[in-house]
Amino acid sequence: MTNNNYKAIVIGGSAGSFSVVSKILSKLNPDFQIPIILCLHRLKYIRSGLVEGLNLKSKINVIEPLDKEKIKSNTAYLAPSNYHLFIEFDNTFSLSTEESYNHSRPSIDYTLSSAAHTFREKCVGILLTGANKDGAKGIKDIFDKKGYTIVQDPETCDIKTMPQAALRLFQPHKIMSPDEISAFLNSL
Amino acid sequence: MAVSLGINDIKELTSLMHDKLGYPFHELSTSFMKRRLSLFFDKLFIKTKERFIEQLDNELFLKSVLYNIPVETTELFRDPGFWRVLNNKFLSSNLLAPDSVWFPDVSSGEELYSFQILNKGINHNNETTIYYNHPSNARLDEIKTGIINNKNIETHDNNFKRLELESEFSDFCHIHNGSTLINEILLEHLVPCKGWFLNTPNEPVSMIIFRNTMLYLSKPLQEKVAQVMYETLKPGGILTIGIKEPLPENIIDKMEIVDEQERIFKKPGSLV
Repeated sequence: MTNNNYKAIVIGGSAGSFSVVSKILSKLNPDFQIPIILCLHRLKYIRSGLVEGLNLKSKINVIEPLDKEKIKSNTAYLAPSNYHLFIEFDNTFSLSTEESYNHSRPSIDYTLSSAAHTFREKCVGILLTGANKDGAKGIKDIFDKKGYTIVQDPETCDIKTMPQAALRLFQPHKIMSPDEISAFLNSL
Repeated sequence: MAVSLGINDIKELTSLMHDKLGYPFHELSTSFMKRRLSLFFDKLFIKTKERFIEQLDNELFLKSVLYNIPVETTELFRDPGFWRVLNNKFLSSNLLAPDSVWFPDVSSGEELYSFQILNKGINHNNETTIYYNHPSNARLDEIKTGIINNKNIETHDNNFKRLELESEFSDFCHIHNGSTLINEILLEHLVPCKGWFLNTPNEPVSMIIFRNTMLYLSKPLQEKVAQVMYETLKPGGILTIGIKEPLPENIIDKMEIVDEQERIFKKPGSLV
């Protein structure tokens, strides 16, 4: 069951999820207030382009946060390349260059797990298409802390490994297509 | 099963570590210390907080803590865009020929080696004294040997290629007994400084490279170290921080922005 008091939407996916995320952001209501935190696997050498690409279609502003930046409403935040992204109890981000996890930096598990611990039942976790299992444990942590969880329907994924890894761990609240995810977010 | 440390546990342990070792562990970011301590617990098979506290009387254990607490950089030329700008805009254009550079947290040495490779490109190594800090004496000694992690050679090489220089990464290192070592000429004029980032060199410096360590400091400690760095920089000196780190508020108005994207700042004045 959803509640209408969510403090963050946290979305994980691998590099191939860019088009799905772009589609979701393009269909948001422009006054969508809940902060959206995106952790997508990305090439570490490519620092620019991704935010700009998402902003082309997004209905809300997309930025890469600096370390210790406050989380604000009506904004989407993208984890910077080659940094882990954590969410702190004082509603700020913290970045880290600690070692890669699941061969990934940023690690989706790290971002989702820290969101689970910070926001608990006031968190929506969404796991999209992806090529490895990073993110599966993180979204389960959100589920375990009573947050609301959505896994992209593997049948709509380019690569099913990530959602399937999550579905092997637990039964999320919803399995949805990208269009259904957009509609769900706008209903919050 | 992993030990779960609460905020009060972290406060207690970091305060004890501070008392024992003198470094401001209690002023590092709590979430960072939670991850770091969990790592120690796992690596050293420590099952309880009490056992960790007992170990604080063990000299070898303390040495291991000091060796492992800074986050390893692991890559030479991490953020190639930063190094490219530093090289093209400053070093090779003769805008900056530093006589002294300070690395307040040298971690695993890659930033120091990266700088020395670029400094060699302008044949300035003999003119530059490099000061570097690490809380572990063993690590300070290790860095002077120039050993780099073999498993990341491909990453170092790829980063180097992105600098778009005429030389090859392999021009600056060699293999010895199966290890990859930075060439000796790049390891001259290195002056290890005991202590961590608050322990300054004995003289003002013309450049400070302190990238991605402030991520792990609380805001008050960030401001403390920022003030120390500001006072240690010569007028006209350059400060570089990580590309995702904001400059602490207490020195924002005292520094000039040289390159905002690459986080390069200058202390007002002239080096000459």
